Amino acid sequence: MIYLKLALKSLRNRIFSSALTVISIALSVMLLLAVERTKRASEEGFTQSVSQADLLVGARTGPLNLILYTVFNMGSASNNISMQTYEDIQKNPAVEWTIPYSLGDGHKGFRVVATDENFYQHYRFRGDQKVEFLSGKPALDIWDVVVGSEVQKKLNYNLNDSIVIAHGVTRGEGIQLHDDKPFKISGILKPTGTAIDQTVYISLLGMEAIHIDWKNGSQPTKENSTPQDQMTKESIKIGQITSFFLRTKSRIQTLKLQRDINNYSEEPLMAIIPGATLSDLWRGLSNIETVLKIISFMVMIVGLFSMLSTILAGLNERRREMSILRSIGAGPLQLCLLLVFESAFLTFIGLMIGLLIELAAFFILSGWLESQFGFYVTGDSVTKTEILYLLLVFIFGILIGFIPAYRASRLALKDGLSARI
Amino acid sequence: MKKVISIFILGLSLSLAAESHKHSEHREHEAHVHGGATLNIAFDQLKGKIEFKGAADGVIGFEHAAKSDQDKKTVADAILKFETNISTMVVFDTTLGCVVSKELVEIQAEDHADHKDEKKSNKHKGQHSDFIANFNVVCAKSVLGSKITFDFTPFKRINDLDVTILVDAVQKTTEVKKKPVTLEIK
Amino acid sequence: MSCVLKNIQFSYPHKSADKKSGTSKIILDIPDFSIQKNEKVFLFGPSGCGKTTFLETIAGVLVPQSGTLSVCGTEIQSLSPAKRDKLRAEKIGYIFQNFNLIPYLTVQENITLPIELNGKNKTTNDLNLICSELGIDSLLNKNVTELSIGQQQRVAAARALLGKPELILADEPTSALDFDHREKFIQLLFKLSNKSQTAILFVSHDKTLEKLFDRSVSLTDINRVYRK
Repeated sequence: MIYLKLALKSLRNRIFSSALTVISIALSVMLLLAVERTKRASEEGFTQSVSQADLLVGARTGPLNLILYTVFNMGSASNNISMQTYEDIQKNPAVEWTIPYSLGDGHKGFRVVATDENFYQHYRFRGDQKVEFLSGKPALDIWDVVVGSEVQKKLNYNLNDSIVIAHGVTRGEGIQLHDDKPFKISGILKPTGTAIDQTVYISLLGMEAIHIDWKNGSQPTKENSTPQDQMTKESIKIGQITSFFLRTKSRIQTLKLQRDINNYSEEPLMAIIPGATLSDLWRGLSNIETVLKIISFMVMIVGLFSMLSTILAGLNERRREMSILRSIGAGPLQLCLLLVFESAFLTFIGLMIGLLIELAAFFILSGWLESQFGFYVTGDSVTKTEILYLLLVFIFGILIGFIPAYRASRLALKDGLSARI
Repeated sequence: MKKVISIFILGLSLSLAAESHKHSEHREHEAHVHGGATLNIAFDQLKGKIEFKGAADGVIGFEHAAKSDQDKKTVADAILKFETNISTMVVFDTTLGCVVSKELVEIQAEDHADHKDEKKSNKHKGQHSDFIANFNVVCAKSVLGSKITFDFTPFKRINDLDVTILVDAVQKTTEVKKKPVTLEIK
Repeated sequence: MSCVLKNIQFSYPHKSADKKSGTSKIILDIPDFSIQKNEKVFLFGPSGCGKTTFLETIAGVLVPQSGTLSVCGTEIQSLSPAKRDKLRAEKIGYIFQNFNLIPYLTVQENITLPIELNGKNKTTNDLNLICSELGIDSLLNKNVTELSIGQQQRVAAARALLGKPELILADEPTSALDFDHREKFIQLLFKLSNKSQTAILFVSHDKTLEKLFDRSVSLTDINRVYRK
């Protein structure tokens, strides 16, 4: 106990250098944890963009391409799937539900996804999260449109506002506008932290309707285009979709269905397991995260070494102190423990402060991070990995403490009781 | 999120494009790659299935039809070896009490329609064959949250195994090269 | 007997060794030296003759290569380092030339530190008694850095005396004091040490203090290294 008191008083006596040491450790711990949390959040946001869908089916292309254009709106589909094929697969007894996606149009830099009621009913992300409405209702009528939370925020839309979809452009301003056939906002979605927030949803019917009368990729003239008010749900026949999500009744059936779809003879199709492809993709991306982690570990080591150098530098000034302790009965081992305790204590305080700052920062900033970056952190606030890191750092801090401790006990033996300074 | 992702994607597009290409060859076109194989595991609650498919060469050592007694014996031995080793190649947590039973183990000659067009493949027709092994698994506890270890070292010629796992909402893939790989199901 | 030395030889190992001859230079070679209980011994000698080494040998910090050394009835060289540290803490008080105190502790904490380190009970009575005799009772809660050198040496004396040691080793404790204070300090030290029958080995190069002691010894006389 007395050694504890001695160590603490001694540290307090050197409060400035002790504080600097603690701060450098705290900052590096904070960095380490922040990188870890960022990694978790981005992995979560990434691999959990779509959940519960067993298969994602599209025209034959690379699985990466399929997932990128369907889930993240990057790149574009090479081919579409005919409605007939879609309905054919839908009828397969193994299928529980499907969510069709028809892509290709945009709205002021946001992409337009044409889908049907199944999207609102079955789409899940981050485990069991449903697509929820801030206000309004799903876009089920031909001219209905539902906007994601970010679309609404950026373009300042309200319910029942009238908007125009641009043809063929999913990024930036459109050149050809479907301005003869405006849509009306029927619903606004709650923020999800996924690509849904940056998406405009219409019905498959609406997508088909704005492209009626188009010939060879060019807009119909005013005279030969069907007027908007003459179109009814019955008069529109959906010809094709881009891709669709699918859930099977059982996972075992998924594998067989995937094989069957990949071998579908009428049309070249590809079925991928979205979660698997996303985690594949994430593994590729995680190189960056590994680099970040290495950097933060380096920072950690620098922090610990700065502690080492501070303690070592202080040691010379404290030779006298060691001599006195030795003259009144403290052995080299006790001096050694005293110094090990010192660095363990500094490391521990640094760890705790670092952890607290990091937790507090994420707690305070989480709302902002969510809204700005779609940065969601779910699950434990401190994970096993993080505890492991903290333990590792702590152990390393203790080990580092043995260096000055060893030196001090050697000095104590060499100096005897009369270190001249 | 998307901004972050797009930066990632831009930075890695080249290497990933190459990667994805390779994968698409593997899975979607079921290209016949010696040394390559796929292993799919799916679970509904406590019942699951293990499906292995790979170039026969990796398991047996050759792909032509077994005609000689020697060849037939090699095939029979390989099949037996695969069957008996499955529980050490796909290792479930012992506390789950999983029992693996054979459903089907066979060698399938590949009838590649598009190969017929190639002059070369006419000569080799029927020489590519796949080794297919399906197993049923019944566990006493859910595999969710547990770990599965893949160790295909008994078959030295299988050196690139693509593993896909489906357990309820969990969808995972991993690649098993020469060393054993452990995957957490969560 | 507080301390008996017989045929002690000491040399610093390794570093100060004469590399060519392979043997270290012998610093102490003392055939016979002893201190009686409650005896006040004055030890003098020129600088560099091994006074401090001699004290540290008696304190059990340095271990002689040969000979026997018993402190307070215990043969010290056969003890483990940890036991020697314990023995030193219990039986020997030490006063340095200067910088006797730990700067971040208060006066009282400094005085009671050896007792706490050795897990003995604090004896508040003794503390108050000793401190009032030494005239430092009003300083107990002060920071040691606020004290004059004279006060610091008295605090060091209080620390050495509080454990009621059998022997106090004082290494030029008065050299930083002016002449008047030297005698006063020594007299105070004697007064208090007599109460606990504590012997004192007082090292100094200042022979004017010699007269105050029971016995005066020149290290160059007892150290055979200097006889040649």
